[in-house]
Amino acid sequence: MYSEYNNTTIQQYNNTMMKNDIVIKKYSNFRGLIALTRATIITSLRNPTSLFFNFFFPFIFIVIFGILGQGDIKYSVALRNDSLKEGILYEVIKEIDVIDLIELTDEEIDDQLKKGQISTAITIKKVEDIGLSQNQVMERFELEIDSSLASPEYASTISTILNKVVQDINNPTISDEMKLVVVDETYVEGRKYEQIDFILPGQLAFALFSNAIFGLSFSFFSMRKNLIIKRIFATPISKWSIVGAEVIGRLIISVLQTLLIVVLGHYMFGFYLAYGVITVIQILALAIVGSIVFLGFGFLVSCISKTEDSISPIANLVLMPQLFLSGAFFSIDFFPKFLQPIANNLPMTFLNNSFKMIAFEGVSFNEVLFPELLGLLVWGIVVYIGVVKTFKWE
Amino acid sequence: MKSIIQVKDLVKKYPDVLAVNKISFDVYENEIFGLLGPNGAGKTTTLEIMETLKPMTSGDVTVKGMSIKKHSQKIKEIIGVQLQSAGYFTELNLREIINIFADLYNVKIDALTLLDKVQLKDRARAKVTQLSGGQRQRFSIATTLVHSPDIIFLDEPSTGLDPQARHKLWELIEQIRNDGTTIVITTHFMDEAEYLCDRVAIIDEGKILDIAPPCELIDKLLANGFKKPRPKKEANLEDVFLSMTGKGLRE
Repeated sequence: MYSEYNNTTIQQYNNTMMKNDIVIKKYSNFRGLIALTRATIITSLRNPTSLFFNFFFPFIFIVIFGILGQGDIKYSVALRNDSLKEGILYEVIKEIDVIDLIELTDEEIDDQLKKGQISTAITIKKVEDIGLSQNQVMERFELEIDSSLASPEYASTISTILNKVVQDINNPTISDEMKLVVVDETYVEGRKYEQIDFILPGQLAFALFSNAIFGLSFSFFSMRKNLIIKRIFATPISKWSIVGAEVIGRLIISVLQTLLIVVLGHYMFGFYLAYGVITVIQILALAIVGSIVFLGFGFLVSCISKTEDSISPIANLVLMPQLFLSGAFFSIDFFPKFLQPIANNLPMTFLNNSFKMIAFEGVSFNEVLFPELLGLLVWGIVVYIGVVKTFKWE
Repeated sequence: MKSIIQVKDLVKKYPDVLAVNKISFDVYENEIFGLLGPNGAGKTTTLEIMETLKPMTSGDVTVKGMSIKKHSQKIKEIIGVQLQSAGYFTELNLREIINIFADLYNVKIDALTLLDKVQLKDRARAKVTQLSGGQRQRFSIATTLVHSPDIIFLDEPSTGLDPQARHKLWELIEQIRNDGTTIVITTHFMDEAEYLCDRVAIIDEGKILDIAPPCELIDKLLANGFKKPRPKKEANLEDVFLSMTGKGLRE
């Protein structure tokens, strides 16, 4: 029925065109764009390899680390003998669920640090008070952290937790004493830092990068090589819609990945979301921003690869070092000094850090996040200049 | 005969080779027009320029009165293009791909009806990679028919097919012509051109050597005193092959 009806309309339309050379029905790119986007998504979701790398691979890590990091694990932190055992800093550290404060002799501490049997020792010292007003003074403390290089991964986790605690005590009290109470309350409620809070953002950034670089470069390359793009050129759709569909399709997959990983991480392993649904929305927005930058790498790889076989090594060369260097598994603070500036400026690091800030520090899209976003933007500009220079349709 | 495509002084220069050297010809409405020539003669280049896929160096091509220099998009809406070795979305089945092409052409069609026309209705859920050579070519032709175009271009559609599949394809092409479509086809199989084409242009080294109906070209050659080295028999080996193996499709 449909086909008969449409044959006649097309025939009429053609006749009109023949007589007047005027198109009466304007061709809509939008419909074709939607169709191609759908094709991109279906293709990706039906391909076992891309399904594995986009969804299951990062999830396996999250499950492993999630199980490892579930509640039962406590990090032993040695409290040195000359340390204060009172004051806000001591109380807060003592309250942290995953940290178990132990007391040993100084020799024992040094020995166990060397052997990596404990990864961190701390000393809390009192330094000069600050006068807030005539009657009020604020106590100030110093926290000394000795980390064991024999157990860097635990030391890094503990250091991150401790630094976070210090940051949280410091931040709001600079001018307004009332805010100190707020901080206090936060700790009474007991925000829990778990392994999942460190692992999930890194794995999410990796999953997004993987989808962008592998998914896009293979799909775009094979569309070019198998002349799918050429065949689409023979239809009236504008050629940029082909690129548009590829980008929109990948971004939709990125959103699906993010939702799946964050929601499962939250409900299965207690991934901390500072402001609940709002934080999820912020993470999604950030995932889209990050993915747009990462898609540039995908286009670049697909354009500089001469054969299909060279895509995978090139993409891996970009992706794999970042998996380890972006702080997805170990904190960058424990990398060798010469590696740190590199690690700190990788696109995946910027996204990983941003996710962490948003998810468990509750940072919003503001000046705190700005340096990370700027880093991503710079990478985006650089990589898209490369794309424009190497782009080819056939 | 009313002409539907006019090619005038068409030239295509690549950096190192002159692929099309100032050729002119007309394609008439509702005919099957063949471009014949050895590999590298310029057939595909000429075809791709007519299909708006390649820019020309000089000259002009008009399709239904519209110059491809100005109206390539409008022309794309009334032509169907089958490429020599086009691929299709590997993870999508035939029906889904047809629906995508329908959206790309802004038309609404029943994919199964169209697949039925090329005898692939029972393969609607298959992927292109699961099709035989002949099925793939018929599917490729189906994608050109999605928007009921006035003209379809077929680039060496029978290359690599066995005799049964070839005959099936020829029947399909004739049927499409009988539905009112003009067909431009390239081939280097002379029996295919002789069987299908109303008129053929013989191209070599970017130039047209002659344009006429196949039988006229044969008569012309015979009139010049040409004789085959061996007397022609009433049947050839292909007839033997088909009579022994049958005309049914093997796929």
